Amino acid sequence: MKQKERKFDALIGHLSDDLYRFAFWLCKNDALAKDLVQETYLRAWRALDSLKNEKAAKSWIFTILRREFARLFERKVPPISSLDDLDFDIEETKSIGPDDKMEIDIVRDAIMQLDKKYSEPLMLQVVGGFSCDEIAQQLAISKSAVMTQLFRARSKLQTVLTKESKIGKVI
Amino acid sequence: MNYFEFRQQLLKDSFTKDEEFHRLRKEDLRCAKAYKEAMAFEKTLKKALNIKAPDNLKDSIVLRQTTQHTLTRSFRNYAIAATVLISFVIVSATWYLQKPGSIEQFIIESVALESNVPLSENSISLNKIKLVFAEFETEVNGDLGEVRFIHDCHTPGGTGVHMVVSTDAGLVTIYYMPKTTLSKDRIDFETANEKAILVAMERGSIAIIADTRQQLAAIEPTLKNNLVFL
Repeated sequence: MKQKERKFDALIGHLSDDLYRFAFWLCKNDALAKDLVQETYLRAWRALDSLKNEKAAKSWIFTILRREFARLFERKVPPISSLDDLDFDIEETKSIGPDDKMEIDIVRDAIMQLDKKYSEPLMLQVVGGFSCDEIAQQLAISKSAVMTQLFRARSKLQTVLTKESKIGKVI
Repeated sequence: MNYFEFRQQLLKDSFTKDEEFHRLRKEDLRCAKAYKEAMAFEKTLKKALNIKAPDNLKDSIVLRQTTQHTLTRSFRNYAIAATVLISFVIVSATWYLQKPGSIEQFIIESVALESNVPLSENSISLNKIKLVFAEFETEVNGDLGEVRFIHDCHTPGGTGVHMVVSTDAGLVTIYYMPKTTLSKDRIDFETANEKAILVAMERGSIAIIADTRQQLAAIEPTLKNNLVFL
């Protein structure tokens, strides 16, 4: 048991913050995200022996989280489409300048509007740090499809950011 | 790779290791400018997604694993005494589980602790329900009603299934406890706010909790008829 615990901690113990962030953007709710991370770790603990390739541990636990979300939470997550409805710690943005904060808020708002098929690969890339190949494997789609979705996701975000920033500056 | 393709690559993956991409980034002025802008955007994007994780998150997760570890270490350190202790625990647990009232108490506590489970907006598909029950070598032969929540859960003696079914008269909570044997065929009792019944099944037992006895009576045959133990 001790050996298993050590292995568990070494492989995925340090990923809790990234998992929480990914969970948060899936659920858009702090409490659900914490529950989802907890469930993910428990599932992973039970299934640790089935992990054959330890190098793929990060990808493995993100996949568990995505599946747990689909299994437990996806249907019950209330439709949130505005940053104002989001419940998260804004402490980290207090030290950021007003222009930067405005840009961050615009991007966050735009992420909320993104279709799941665009936001999920983007989160896996930016929050999870996965390559396009790894994302393709996780989402069971082709690498070119991943790249197309990433391209469209960023294009949409940049369009909103450019438009909203201009409006903000005019005001 | 031309300028247009370079910009496309920036939107797909600006951290690519492609040599041609990096050559253009250094040698082409337009590409260098586009790269700089893309990096500024990536920084904003990273900050936008990088919300603060709760301070105690890791500790709360590790705690549950650590508890198991502590138990293991204790057993290891007291190996000889453990043999006696385990035997004692097993005998005591068996006695405790068979003691009238202990299973009812478990259900009362579970209902109190798990009253706010996340309910799905729509009915959970029969296939998903079948998958959960399949883990307990139990087949679902027919419709169990409008299931709005299903998850494996702790039950006396092992893991079971926690399910919430929506009916016209309100929500009905069900615990399937494959390892919990009852001393009688059925036990009626009450939780803090609801009526409850424990029913012995071919394997283990089922607890049904609802506002009224009528709801319990309505769902009991559905469960008995549609759960097949393999």
